[in-house]
Amino acid sequence: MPEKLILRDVSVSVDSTDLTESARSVTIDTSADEVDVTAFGGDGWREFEPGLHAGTIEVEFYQGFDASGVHETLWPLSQTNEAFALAIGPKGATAATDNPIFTGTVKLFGYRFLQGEVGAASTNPVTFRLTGAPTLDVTP
Amino acid sequence: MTTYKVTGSVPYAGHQPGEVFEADLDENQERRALERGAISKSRAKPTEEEETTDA
Repeated sequence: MPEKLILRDVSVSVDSTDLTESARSVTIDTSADEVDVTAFGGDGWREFEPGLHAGTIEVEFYQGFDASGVHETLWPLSQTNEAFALAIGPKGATAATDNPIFTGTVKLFGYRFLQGEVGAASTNPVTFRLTGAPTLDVTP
Repeated sequence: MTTYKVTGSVPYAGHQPGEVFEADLDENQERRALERGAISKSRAKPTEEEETTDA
């Protein structure tokens, strides 16, 4: 039976700091632009080729101001525009053939200091953008 | 190799809080981690030459 992954233990490491237990959702998109290369002589259908790739990783964190927590880790990165390592594992942080760790060098965009309403958990959805091609680490 | 201790409340580079580990961290990575208190720098592991000199 093919695996039908239920997300339970996604690991999130930001600049080597493990923020797994502060994260609640992840989206990794490495889509390429769709470039229309339709030419004369076709059969009436547009033709597309993949263009430039872009990597966008969205992670929603619960905000926290504890030592080495979400704010202390992300705030400086959002202010200095430095590139750093981001690693996300579908089933924990231990790489394996059935748990490829998505690893890339990124920059942080879209930091939200506070977000929420009365009585609700303050969440901090942030956007990381790859600065180059990512790798999938399957070596335990 | 440099010796570090995880001083933050969450794991760092696969090492648990309070754990001491050796690594060759990138200069900027080390600076950021030290600044935010994720790790503290311990004494560098002595080289073979230093160990010989000390003996």
